[in-house]
Amino acid sequence: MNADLALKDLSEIADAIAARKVTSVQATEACLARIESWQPRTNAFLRIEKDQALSRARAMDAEITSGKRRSALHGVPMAHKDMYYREGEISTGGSAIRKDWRAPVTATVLERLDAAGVVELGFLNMAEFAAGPTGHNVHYGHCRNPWNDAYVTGGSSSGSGSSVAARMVYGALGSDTGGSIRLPASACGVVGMKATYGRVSRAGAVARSWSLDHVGPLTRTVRDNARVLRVVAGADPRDSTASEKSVPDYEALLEGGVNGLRIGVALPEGLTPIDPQIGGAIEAAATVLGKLGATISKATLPDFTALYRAAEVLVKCEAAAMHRPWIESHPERYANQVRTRMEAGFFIPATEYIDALRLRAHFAAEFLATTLAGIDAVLLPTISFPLPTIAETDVEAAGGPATLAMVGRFTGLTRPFNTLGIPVLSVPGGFDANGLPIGLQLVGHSFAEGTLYRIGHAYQGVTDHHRKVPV
Amino acid sequence: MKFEDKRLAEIMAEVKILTDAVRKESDARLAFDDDPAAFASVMAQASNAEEKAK
Repeated sequence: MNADLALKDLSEIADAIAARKVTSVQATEACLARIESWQPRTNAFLRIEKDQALSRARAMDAEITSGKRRSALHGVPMAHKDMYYREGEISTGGSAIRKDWRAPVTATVLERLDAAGVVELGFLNMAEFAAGPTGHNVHYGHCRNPWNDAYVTGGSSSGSGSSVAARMVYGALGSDTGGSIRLPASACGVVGMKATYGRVSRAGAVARSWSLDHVGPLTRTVRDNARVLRVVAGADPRDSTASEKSVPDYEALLEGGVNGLRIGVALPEGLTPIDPQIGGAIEAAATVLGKLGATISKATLPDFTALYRAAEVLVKCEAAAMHRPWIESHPERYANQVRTRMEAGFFIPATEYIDALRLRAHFAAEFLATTLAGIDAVLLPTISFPLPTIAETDVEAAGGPATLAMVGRFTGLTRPFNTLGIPVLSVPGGFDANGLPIGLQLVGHSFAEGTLYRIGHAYQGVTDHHRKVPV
Repeated sequence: MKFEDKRLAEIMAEVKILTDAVRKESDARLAFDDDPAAFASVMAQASNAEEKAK
């Protein structure tokens, strides 16, 4: 009974808890049982808080019994990338440097999930300091893909993708500076939203790059994702970049369908050639959406290389600034591939860093006025090639240029949208010849997350990629 | 912070690729009055314009 509960979607379990058909304790126990069997295979969790989770679940059940329901997430077990601070608790950021460090504050997004009645099962594996697109972590062990544990999970939110896919949690927060929500969503076969820059507060989250960091949810379905984003999004006095724009009820917008929407399809051949298997999945998705009533056309993308290089300048300079004291005093405590990616940041002139910031407004305005002119969304791959194995992508010994090449290959189609700041939803779009998931990106206008959810939900209504469960 | 010659050469090659790319785009697009903070305004204005159009 309990094991079956873990297979339900977040929205289903939340509604069942509200209807008193299931208790939060039962849902939490189901997840804990699932964790017991899947953690050894995936290494998705860094810490499991069993007793705290059950205690919290009992409290949430008592509230339901007394007639109080905090939100549409009341009583739902989740877990998060180990970079969201909780006051007084260890927060490693996936690093050895912060192995025993305790956070002085609680992240705004955790405060919002607490207030919403979410049960926290623990904290999840991640790339060291959110720097790494594969799921490798030399300090805590690599996170493994539940579809095949020899393969990468994508990163940096590796544990978030892996735990949601393996049905250990109903949803998880990740973060995305160059693709770190969308890559694990794609690689693990789940839904990931990088919302508009400023849609979700970053306060109390470990920074990778202040200018490019986005906080967002990974879930099994688009509906689940919409439900979580509504709770965590919104203005925050603790984060000056958090937008004052009101947060829509995304879930209420889901049933609008795609009839009348215009979707541009893109198979860019820029930094990363598209593998025919991946291109085929995109074309198949476009056909599905066309049959549902969307108008499909070919989208013309800008020069991704320029957008990619601008992001690289920003992330390297900002990461170098924040990590300088530790790199100077304890360089050996970083993974080779993490430290070497920051080193160029010490040599890039301030003028180029500032120009990269100034260019973003031009890049975004041009993208909105050209690529997105007359269309509602662009459809393109998340990762342009079939997933490689953990061994094939291990660049720890090589470092330097080998790391840059590997990172460029993975993030070629994701990082440009961090420069642009516009919302992108990654949705499961099938499986490759090795049985590993393929992800589709839907790119939208600024603050138009609701439109992307609408398209993704319609797609999931007639496909079953997201219904398949790793065994 | 010190680097071995080989590693320093790799870093400087990377820096050149990045700075050349940014300079090329800057020369083509930026003017004296361009403000780094304009990005947030573009996001908000584009969103407002789209909502108005709907």
